[in-house]
Amino acid sequence: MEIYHTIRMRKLKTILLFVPFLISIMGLFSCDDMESVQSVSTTVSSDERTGGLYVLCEGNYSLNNSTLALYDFQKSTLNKDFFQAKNNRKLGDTGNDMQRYGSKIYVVVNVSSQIEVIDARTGLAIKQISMFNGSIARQPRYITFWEDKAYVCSFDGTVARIDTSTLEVEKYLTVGRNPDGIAASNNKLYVSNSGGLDYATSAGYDSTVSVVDIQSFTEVKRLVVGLNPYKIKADSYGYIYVVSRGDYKTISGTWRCIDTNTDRIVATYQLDVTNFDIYGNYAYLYSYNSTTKDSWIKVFNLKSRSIVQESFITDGTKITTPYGINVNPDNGDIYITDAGDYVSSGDVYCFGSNGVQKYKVANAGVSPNTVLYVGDLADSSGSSVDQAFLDSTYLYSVIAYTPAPGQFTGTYPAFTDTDNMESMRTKAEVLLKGKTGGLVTLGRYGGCLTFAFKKAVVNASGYDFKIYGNAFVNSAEPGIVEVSVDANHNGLADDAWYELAGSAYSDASTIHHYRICYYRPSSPSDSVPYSDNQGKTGYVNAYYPAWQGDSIVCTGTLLAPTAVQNTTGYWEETNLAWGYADNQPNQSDLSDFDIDWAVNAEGQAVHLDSIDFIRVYTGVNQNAGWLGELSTEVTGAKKLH
Amino acid sequence: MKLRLKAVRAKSWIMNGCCPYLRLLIFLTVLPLSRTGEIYAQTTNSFYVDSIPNFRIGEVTVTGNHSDPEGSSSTPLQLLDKNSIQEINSLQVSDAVKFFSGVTVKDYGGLGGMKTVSVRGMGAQHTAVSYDGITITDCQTGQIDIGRYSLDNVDILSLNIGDGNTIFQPARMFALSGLLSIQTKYPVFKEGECFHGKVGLKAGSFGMIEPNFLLETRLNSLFDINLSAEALIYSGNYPYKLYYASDADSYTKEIRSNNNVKTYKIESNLFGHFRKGQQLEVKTYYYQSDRGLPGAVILYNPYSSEHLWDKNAFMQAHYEQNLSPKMVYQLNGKYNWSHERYLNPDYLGSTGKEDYSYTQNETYFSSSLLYNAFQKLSFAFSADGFVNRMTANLYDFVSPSRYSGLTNLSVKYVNSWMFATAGFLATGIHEKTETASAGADYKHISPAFNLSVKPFSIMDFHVRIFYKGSFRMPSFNDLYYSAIGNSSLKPENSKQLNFGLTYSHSFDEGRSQFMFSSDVYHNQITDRITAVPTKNIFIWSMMNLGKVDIKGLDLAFEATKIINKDFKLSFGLNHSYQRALDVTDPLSKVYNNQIAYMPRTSGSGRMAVETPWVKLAYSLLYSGHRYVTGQNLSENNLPGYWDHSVSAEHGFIIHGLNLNLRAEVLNLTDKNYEVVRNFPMPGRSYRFGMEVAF
Repeated sequence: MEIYHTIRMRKLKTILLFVPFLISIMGLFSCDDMESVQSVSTTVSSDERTGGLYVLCEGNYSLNNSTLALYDFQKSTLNKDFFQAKNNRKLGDTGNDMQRYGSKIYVVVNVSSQIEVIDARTGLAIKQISMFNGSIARQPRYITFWEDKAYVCSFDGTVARIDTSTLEVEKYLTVGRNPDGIAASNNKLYVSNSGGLDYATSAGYDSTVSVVDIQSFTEVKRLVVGLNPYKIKADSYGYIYVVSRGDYKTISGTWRCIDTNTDRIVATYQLDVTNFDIYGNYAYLYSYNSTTKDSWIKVFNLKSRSIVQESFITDGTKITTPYGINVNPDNGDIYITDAGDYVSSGDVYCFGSNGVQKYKVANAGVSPNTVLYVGDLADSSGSSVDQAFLDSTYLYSVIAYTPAPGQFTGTYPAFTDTDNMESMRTKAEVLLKGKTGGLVTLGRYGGCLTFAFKKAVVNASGYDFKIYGNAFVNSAEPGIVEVSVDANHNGLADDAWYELAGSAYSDASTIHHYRICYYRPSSPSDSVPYSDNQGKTGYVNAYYPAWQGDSIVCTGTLLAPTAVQNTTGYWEETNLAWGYADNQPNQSDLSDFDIDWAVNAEGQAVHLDSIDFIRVYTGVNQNAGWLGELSTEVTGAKKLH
Repeated sequence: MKLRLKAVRAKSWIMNGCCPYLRLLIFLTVLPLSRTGEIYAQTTNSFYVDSIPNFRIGEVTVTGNHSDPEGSSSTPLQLLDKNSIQEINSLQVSDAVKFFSGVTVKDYGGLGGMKTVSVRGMGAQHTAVSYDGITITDCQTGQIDIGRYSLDNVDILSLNIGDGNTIFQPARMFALSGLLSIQTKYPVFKEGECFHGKVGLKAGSFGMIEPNFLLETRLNSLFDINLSAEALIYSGNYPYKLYYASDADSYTKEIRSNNNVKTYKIESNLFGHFRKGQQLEVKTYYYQSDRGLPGAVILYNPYSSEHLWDKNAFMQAHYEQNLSPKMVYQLNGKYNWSHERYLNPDYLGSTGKEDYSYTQNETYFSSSLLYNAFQKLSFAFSADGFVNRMTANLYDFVSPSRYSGLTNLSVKYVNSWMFATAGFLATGIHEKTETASAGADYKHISPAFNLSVKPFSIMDFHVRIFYKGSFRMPSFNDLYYSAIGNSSLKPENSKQLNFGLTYSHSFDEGRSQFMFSSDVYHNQITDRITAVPTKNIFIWSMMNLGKVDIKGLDLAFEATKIINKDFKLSFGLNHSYQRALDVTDPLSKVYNNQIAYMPRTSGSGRMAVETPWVKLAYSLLYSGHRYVTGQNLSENNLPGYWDHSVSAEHGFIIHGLNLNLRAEVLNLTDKNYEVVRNFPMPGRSYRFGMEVAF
């Protein structure tokens, strides 16, 4: 009995031994109920059907979480790490600047010390340029472009010149301490030397802007601006604006204007500007005080050089921590990002120029600093419905591409030794077919692009088609548009052409039946001889289109020169009222065309029920000083009905 | 359960039979937090004899049968003794601390990396670390790098959350929210033995060599002295996988570079035992290290060249004496000097490098008095005063000095079924700087209440509850560091409330035992000092913005079974569940998100088998997933990890010397998991050790 009792007790004790053990095991599997928070990003309702918004987000230092996000308007989806999705690798640490030049987007990744060059349409990485000096990271900060080179300033005190075709660094130039901004204007680079890495030493901040001559790539002057210079941008009037941030303690920030003709400071504003962007006649400025958390956003007129709006946002939208500010040159929209607490993800707000919020892309990434609209985004889904839409709505084929001599002839698109007429036509077609945003230059007067839509354009009431260019206010290079009907139904553009008479057609200064002939020079970079039927001969600037014959004849209507030099000496390429390509901004209907405007060679109106072919040729024959020749650029075409 | 060595000190008069039943009395629940004498003679029933002949009596609170320190502690107490430390395959204190529940150790990888311990989500600056009874302070950062302390001569490692059962200790031991106590081995001599010691050598993967030695000498009947020294050389060039994308196939194999370590340590302790109740300990310590700082792995930028040199020397003394049968006093003093040099030879500022030297020193003095008013009631009063100074070669450095005075008054009541303490710590701090403005003076009274109840006399089951309010001062870096410091910072406040149950049981005449404890707690941190990028993205500032609400559960279970004199099994398991949410601003994106680097669940386990031929041990650390920033988005997710290690050990006797051989395999699964993002941990590595005791 006793033994039985003892055994029972032992069993009980053994069980008791395990009960708490079991409890602890159960406790062990107490669920890890911590789930990721879903971040909401708004469905953006926008009138843009195509294209997308690239948003560069810095991420946090040493977390390798800088991202390039893409909001696709067509699909209404936000891909927060678009770069990784496309390239199967992360962008790296602290993406600091992002700019588009031609068909490529350059992303400056500061802490990883790389420049990522990606194809703007697809987001695919083309090349990763390492910015190292042996094993020391140069820490690149900002990028700007001039002609066929890119210029990157880095914290190690250098500016690197990168060729935009080979994507190799050609040369380094040493400027001031810790450059933190670079801009290009008037054949010069302007680099703001912040000295920021000496903030805790007796040397303290720098306060200079280095002026670099582009041809010789040497520093020619150093201007003293305020303490701790930072963002620096060029306007279209030959002036450079630079922010000086002060010392965050007793010395407050200022904003200065530099004249690029004299390289002197012409104005100093007691505005504690933190960041700004320039578009056309206006600069959009903001100031953010990190101690008080106050901020303001103002609008500054670059012609009158004064604040014209004390508070840009007119609809009460509150931005906690303004961070990035960018203007979309295609449509004038202003993007302002809100970095919040710099640790959680930030938002992108889009405002019209009237200060009313159009839409918001929420939770784009940590500290979004640059927003770039890309209209010619490739449709990666390849869904047949959308492709059919694009095929039938946008430019479908390039029939002929015969540019005249020009500074960008042979660059947009690029010519190589293996190219010929047909391959250049193909290159132009690739840039323009089914989308907008790719750039084809026509060169100076007479350079021509002939194209067609998939089906004939019907002459309905009102505008019938739009031609995209890169014009905005006082930046117009008007191209004359002609249309043709495939009367002999052979699919070739060998039928009669009719000019669409624009606003300047009947001006006294407009010359009809103009003819000019350009002759191939002995070497590709030489000036090009010409002669015209007005009795003039002479030379025009390079480059002659190397793939064409030894001479090019261009005939058509010649518009009077449109570019004028203003009192400051800067060239304004004035806009004609309507009816010309690359003359008015794309979002305006002044870049639309009506087949009703068709006239014959005698200037009499003709009625065409529909047309099959369109051609655009540069309508002015003018050099605008250092801007070079006026040359029409085409970035796409679209049927309006 | 293991009959743990309680850090018990005995005077030789006990050995000589002066107090016979005290000799039998070994189930002393001693708190290793203090080495002072607070003796209770209890007339309860049976006690067990420990086999250690020479022992100290610490502050003893005998509360009955089979009680053990962890079970009967009124606040969560976890102990790791020498044997348990061996079972968890740890080299440095930071390795062992990871096995405590409720603990998050931020480990930056490799032997040289910095390691700090945060208890229950409160942050590393809220955890005090003491070395043989006196706290270590670092006013510069407010955090102690526990990676620098090796486990070679550590006897007991314990973590106490809230105040412990001890009241007779320096006031500074009450000052923070939790206390990690490192206690080294006290010399124990056999009859007639004059000296003994050990020499050891460890060698391991990635160029690790660690020679060490210990010598203990009985100088005369009054004094013992020990001397220990160790060196650690480590290359740290372990391979790891560098992932370029979330895709598991997108990686390259890299080697961790600039991760080498050279450290040296020498320490000597003098122990004096005089008349009854009178003893003295004097410690001299010197430490020096030379480490490469590999930094975070930055994509596409693999270079690192930063370097850190540390020197630390201190001397501390402890003296205690019985004034009367009811009163004991102790005096503690410490002088600490430390110097750190940081070098970044590739800095892009105009000097071309960052070469900063920082020197800190501390002078500390404490006196405490214990009054055993009645058998069950006692009072303790402590007063501490200390001065911390810092100089640096930074431009415009303000060279601060901090004068602190702490006084603590505690009362304790103990009977056979209840244990309660209440204490009030008064703090007064004054700061001075040479230039610029100093931090504000600070005065505060921090209360603490503990209660532990044993409702059933036949069962070793305790219910405990404690409340403690405390704070941590902003560090000198927080206040004064160049453009980042903010001299108007206030201290961070913490409030803790804990409720727990413990149960332990032994049967089979003590051959099988287990202990189980579970604690639920609610902590609140206010005025949390956070770094915010103001000015520009490179210059962050410290601000008091932050409220954290922490609720959690800690479970611990241990069991041992002695099969016979040759075979023994032991098992331990810890699990923590913690919800540490940011509740600063309901409108912010991080509201109610778990704070950065805190896993929701984590735990550890160990198992050991002792046989006559070999002792095998297996240990496990696991952590649930965490987020690297305060916003719990999936892109910020850092996956959880499981770290398994095994070891085999055997002792021989050769020519009268004890030889011990040990082999360990660490991180069996060879995964370069990350505790801190972009600081990969070493994969599988090996360690061998040999020790000869003479």
